[in-house]
Parts: sequence; C-alpha cells; structure tokens
Amino acid sequence: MNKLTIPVQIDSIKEMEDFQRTRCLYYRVELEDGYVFRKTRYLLSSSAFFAAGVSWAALAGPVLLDGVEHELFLTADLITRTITSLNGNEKLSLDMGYLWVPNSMFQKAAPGVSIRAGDVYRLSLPYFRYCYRFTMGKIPDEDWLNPRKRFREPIHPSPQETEAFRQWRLEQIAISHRRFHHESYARFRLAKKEVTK
Amino acid sequence: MSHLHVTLIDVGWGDSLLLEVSQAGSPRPRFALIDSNDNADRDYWPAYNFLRKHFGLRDIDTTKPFFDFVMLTHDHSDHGSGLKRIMKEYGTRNFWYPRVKVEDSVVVANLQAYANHPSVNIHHQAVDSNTELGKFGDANMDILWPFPNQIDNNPNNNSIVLSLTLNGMSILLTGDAEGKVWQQIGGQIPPNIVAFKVPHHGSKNGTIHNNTFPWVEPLDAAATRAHLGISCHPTFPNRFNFPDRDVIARFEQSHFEYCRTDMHYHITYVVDENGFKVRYSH
Repeated sequence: MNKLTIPVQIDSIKEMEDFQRTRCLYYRVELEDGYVFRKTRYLLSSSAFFAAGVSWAALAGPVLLDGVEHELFLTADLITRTITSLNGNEKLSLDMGYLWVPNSMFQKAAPGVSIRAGDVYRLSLPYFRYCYRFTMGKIPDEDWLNPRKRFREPIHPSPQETEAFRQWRLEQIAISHRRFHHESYARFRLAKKEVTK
Repeated sequence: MSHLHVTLIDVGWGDSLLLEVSQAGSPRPRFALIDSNDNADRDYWPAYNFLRKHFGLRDIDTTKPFFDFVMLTHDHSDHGSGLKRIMKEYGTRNFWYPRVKVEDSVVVANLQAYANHPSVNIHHQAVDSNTELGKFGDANMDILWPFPNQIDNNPNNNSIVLSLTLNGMSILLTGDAEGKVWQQIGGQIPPNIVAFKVPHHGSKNGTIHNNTFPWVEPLDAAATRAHLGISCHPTFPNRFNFPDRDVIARFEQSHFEYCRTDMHYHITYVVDENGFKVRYSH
C-alpha cells in the first residue's frame, strides 16, 4: 500500500433527519512514560528521538512483525498478533478512539452499498485528520459536511479487513467462552438467580 | 458509616460513572466504574483525569486491582473509549458487559482481548437480569435488563440497567436503554428509588416510546421522588441536541428535579445514614 490510510470500524450509524453521520472507531496507541524511537524507517525525521505524553492513531500500515512487512489487518491472525503484542507492551497502551464521518461520504465511496456496524473503511490521512478535528470540535458542522477543501480518495471500503475483523471478533468471543466454561474458572463465575424473571 | 456515592462524571458526549460504597468492618471504601468516554488526545481524557484527581485529592491507595468491577453497559465507543486505559492503570477484579452480536462487538471484543491477555488475566463475563451480582460493599446490586438470551439489533437496547440499593434507597443506572426497553421493565423500577440516570443522554429515544413515557410514568407514581441525572453536552461545538427539549419539558411538567452534566459538571448522588442528597459543582 503506497498511500497512508487509517482503518476505521463502523461503531454506530445515526440516520436522523438532521444528523446523518457515523461514529467510527480507530486504534489509538498511547505512551505515557516516554519512549525512544530508534527505528525511523516510517518516520519523517532521520534521527532517533524521545517522545512522552503522546497519543496517536496507529496501525495504519504497513507493520513489521518478526522481520516481515505486512499490510495490517488483512487476516485475523495479523490482528491477533498485533493487538496481543501491543497489549503485552508495558510502555505502550492500545486503546480505542472514535471520530465522526458523514454518511454521505460512505455513499460516495461505495454507491448503493449499505454500511453496517463492524465494517472496515480506510480513510486517507488528510481526511482522517479532518474528521478528527471535527470530532474535537475544531471545525463547524457546515464546513465538515461540505468541506471547501477537496480530498483525494478520502475514504474507501476495505472488505478484506472487514472480514478479517469479523473473524477476529468471533475468535475473541470464542476464547472468552472457552475460558469462562473451563473448570478452572468455576469459582469466578457469577451465580444465576434462583428465580428467573 | 455506611454510604453509597454514584458520580456522573462530566465526559461531554457519553457516560462514565464512578461508584463508591462502604464495606462493613473495613475503613476502606470499595470502588467500581461504569463506562468511560475518553475519546481525544491526552488533554481531554475526562474520565481518566477525573479519577486521577479524585483519588489523588483524597489520597486513596489505588493499588491494583483497585476496582471491584468495571462495567461496559453496551457496545458503543462513547461508553467504552478509554476503558482499557483505566483498567490498565487501576486494575479491576471483574469486567462485566452485556451479550452482543458479533458485528456489534467492536468494543467488547477489544476489551475481551485485553482481559484475556496472559499478563492481564481479568475475570470477565457477560451479565444479564438472571445474573446474581451479589453485593457491592454494603450495597445490593440487581440487573433489571437485558433479559437472558435476548440480543437486540440496536446495541443501545442491550444496555445493562443496574439498580444499587443501600439503607432502603435505590439508584438506577440505565446506560442508553431506549423507550422500547422501558416499556418492558418500567414496572420494575424500585418503588424506593431516589436517583435515576436518564437513559441515552436525555434523547427522545431514551424517554419516549410510541407517544408514551414508559419510565417517567412509573417514577411519577413511585413512593419517593427520584432525582434525575443527565449525562450530556448539547453545548459541545457540534450540537447533538441532547437532552431533547421535549424530554426536558416532560420532566418539568412532572416537577422532577434534575441535574445535567453540561450545566452542573460532575453530579454525585449520596446515600448514607442521613438520607439522600445531590452534590454538583455549579
């Protein structure tokens, strides 16, 4: 993938008369205590630097895992390995952020295609930044809905990642289910009420 | 002295509630958290920053695992964003959430992945009205919704509705459960209710259903006069019109006292041996 885009997952679609927008979730990587960036391949600067108190939308791709470059999120296995790796990293914290995207943009990207919760779309970095700024209250509604600035390929559907994330979510539910029903978990399970409502 | 505090943290759009309760025989109160909306860069993490300041001011020992439980009422990112960070910072003994459909499990799946991580290992499970939560310190807890084996297409209608009771007084926490839910459980609102978190930020959908007010009417008839708490931010730069004007008009018609986080900032309900009171900043 030559152009930097950021994957977002559909969280909640609002279709009220004067409120036609969709909340989209992205991954946010945060560091608090400071981190030294030594590998500068994907950074603008050619020097290593120390950064603290930084929060950014990461996992835009490509990513280096075990010395191999991957376009992120194309398989459930890649999602698992990336998220597991980040969840186990003491210095970094992986969390979820969200931003709003006008429903009309999805229609322009894929005419006639209904958007559904869980679908993955990729936003160009300029358009992601634009929607992020709107969500933070820095751009008025009217400008956001009808931007004066022209964005080149602001958004496109990512069906392969949609399916990969669907599989990944199924796996998380299955892992949780197995863990819950394992005999070693019995003492942690909450009881059922004696009288069913 | 037994006490129960429920704080609606002003997080702008979304919900985050800090629960604190006494524990008989222990000098240290117990804490829990319901939802979080810390969407933004670190300057704005409202729930996280509130917790840090709140515990810091009171010099509370936050050794992990700090929370008795963390609860996600439903799978929407304005209720789950930042929850992971809070669980990582403070630790929790339990993480609870409603059953969700796979396509709607965007937030739950990510939090499950964190809870299942070998280095984290948080006990977690889906809960419903058939789950016996037991006590939270000196307070009794009861889930009114969702019913077992029912998953709605609208994640709002899978919101966990939780009742907390201490000293014969109940507080009802409602997530984003909409009118359709209240049509089914409005009759189960405890008669001794003293505070009610208005569902879905005071939206029309959260209060009005088929031209009826399925939770307002039972509250009107309740033995106690419940105080209404609204977690909202209509003056946020991008106006979402929550709470809805018709909803507020209905509250005023029934002479309910209410507070809203956009005007009153953090709202704390206090139940103790002196009775019930409401605290807010301004």
